[in-house]
Amino acid sequence: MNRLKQTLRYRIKLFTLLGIVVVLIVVFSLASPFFLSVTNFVNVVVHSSILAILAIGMTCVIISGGLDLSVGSIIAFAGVVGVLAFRQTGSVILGLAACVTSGGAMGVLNGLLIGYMGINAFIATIATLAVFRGATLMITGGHTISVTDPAFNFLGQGQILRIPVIIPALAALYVLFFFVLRRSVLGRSLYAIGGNARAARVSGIRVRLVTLGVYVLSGTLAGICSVYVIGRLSSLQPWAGLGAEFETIVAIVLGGINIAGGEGDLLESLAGVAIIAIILNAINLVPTIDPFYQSVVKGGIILAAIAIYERFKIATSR
Amino acid sequence: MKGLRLVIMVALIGLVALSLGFARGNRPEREGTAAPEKPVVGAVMVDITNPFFVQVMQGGNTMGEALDVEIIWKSSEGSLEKQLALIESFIEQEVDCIWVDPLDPEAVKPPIRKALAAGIPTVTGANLVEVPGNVSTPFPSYDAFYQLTGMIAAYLGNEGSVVYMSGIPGNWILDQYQAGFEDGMKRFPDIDILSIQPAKMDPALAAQIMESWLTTYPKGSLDAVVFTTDPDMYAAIEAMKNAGRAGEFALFSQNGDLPAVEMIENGENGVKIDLLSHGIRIGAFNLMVAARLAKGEKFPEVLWFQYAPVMTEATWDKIVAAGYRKDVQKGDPFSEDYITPERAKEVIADAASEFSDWQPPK
Repeated sequence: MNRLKQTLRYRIKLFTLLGIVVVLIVVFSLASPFFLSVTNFVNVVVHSSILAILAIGMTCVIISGGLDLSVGSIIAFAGVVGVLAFRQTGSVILGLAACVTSGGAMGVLNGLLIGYMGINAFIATIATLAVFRGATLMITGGHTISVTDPAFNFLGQGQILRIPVIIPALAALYVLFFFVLRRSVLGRSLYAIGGNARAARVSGIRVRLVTLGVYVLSGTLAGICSVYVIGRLSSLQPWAGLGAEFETIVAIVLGGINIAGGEGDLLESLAGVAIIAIILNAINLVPTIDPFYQSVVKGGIILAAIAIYERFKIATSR
Repeated sequence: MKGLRLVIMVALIGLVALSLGFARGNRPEREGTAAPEKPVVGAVMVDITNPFFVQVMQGGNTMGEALDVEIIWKSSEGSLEKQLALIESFIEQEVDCIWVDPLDPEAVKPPIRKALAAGIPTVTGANLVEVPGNVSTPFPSYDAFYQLTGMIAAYLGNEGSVVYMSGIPGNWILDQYQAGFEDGMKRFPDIDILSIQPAKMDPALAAQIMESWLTTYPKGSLDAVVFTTDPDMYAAIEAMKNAGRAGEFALFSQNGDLPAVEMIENGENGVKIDLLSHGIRIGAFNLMVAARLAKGEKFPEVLWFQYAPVMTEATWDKIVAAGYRKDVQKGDPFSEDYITPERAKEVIADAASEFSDWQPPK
């Protein structure tokens, strides 16, 4: 009976989120005649790709009871490593691999600090945020580095049958990690640790190793983001990813993920990302929104979405 | 329960379909119908919280009224990713011209190409963005500061010591100012550059740097201070006043803000020369180009935005007598040899009239 109630609650939650997405689509379609078109929806997905990729890693980290505030800085530093590797070797494959693996390596540092040394995740990743960003600025001197190789930039600018490559790549990532969270041992371990780390340890889960693993995952996904960002901007930007972690957390909390850990799933995060992406796109399209009021409007719409969602949660929990 | 879910799904799908139909009905037609009332320019600014960009918007709005165009202002909030997204949104909105102040001249090339391919003319302000069909309105920033060093050297009698407060490392325009300054000063071996510090366009940091310099260089050991931007200079002047040393140094800067122009006019705080660019002029000039492109006019692909050195007649006579001559490197950065503070105030107050009949140089 309890399980049935949980399933019902989850489905209502999802439907509520879907309903909010649909309402936003309707409202913004009426506010701007340019909103509801295929090309604009492609724009929505492309413009929110970084957020969407980071949301996968952040969801896994938060479900396990952790937090990763360094992902934005990882994007920048992974980009530095990748671009330097590419320039030194002339090999696109090595450069791309360096981006992704260096992201994972930075995740190892986070995982060791948090999983093995027991440092609070908030503090550890705030510190590594500063370290990674500082290292990026030291190496680049604050300058951008141009990258014009079309192979290197394929993820950010390439198209397959006129569809930006990032769209099928995103879909593949979400399908993969949906099953990882729902069906794999790793996924179940993350929920167990996030629910009760002590109980998880007693039940035989290698908490420290899994914690290390989830931060490696988060860092690796940030490394993938760096490949996309470099491709999209045709350059390495030392300030790439600035503030991305906070926007990601807002999106997945909006989707209903419990910041305390132990519950939630990728569909909820995806709904939160969709809400943020639609709002940001609509603000760009609606000409009557004065640029000075953009932040106010953005915050207001997010607040309204959260208020509606929380009201539904309270109503359905009775 | 299943039935209820089905009803909800059908209702939601119906709402989406309804809004799709309504939205299509609302979409303004571009082909084969009467022309829209006013051309629309989509303007993508780097940031609108910095006072400079507020001036740019002011100048753009003034010119927009004069030329009868509608302007949609959007802010990139300092993010290159957001800037590209805004350009793509303007393409989607089918505006008549897109004016961008690029954060990175290479990164904006793909969306600029997309806009041009969609038949939307583009203007990229302050930077050279080499895309066929795009009109760039770069600042001759290297040349401007190269020429300024000649004026500084002549003012100081070709000897002395100076310090330079630079901008944001990595910002192309500000880096070009610094490069022009350093290269220009090489011509004057008896002028020592004692220090170069980046204020990063942060007045609070500018004040701190000036305080350090005041501590490091006692009276008589420093002759001139050169600034990248007027707000940094104002903050530094406050530091000088607090230390009781305002007016001790000759000050040189760039922007041509009204307070700086008045300091030159009134002989206050040692401000001698300020290169008039001014956000209002920049906004008016770029909007003029964008508006005329939106109306179907053609322009060369590079239109250099020119500065005007603001100084008193006495200062001009002094530097000419000391041997100052223009030494043009890449292009003449100045619209005139110099302008007086009075003329500068007229230009700032009425930027629309300065550019409304403007024609590109032949």
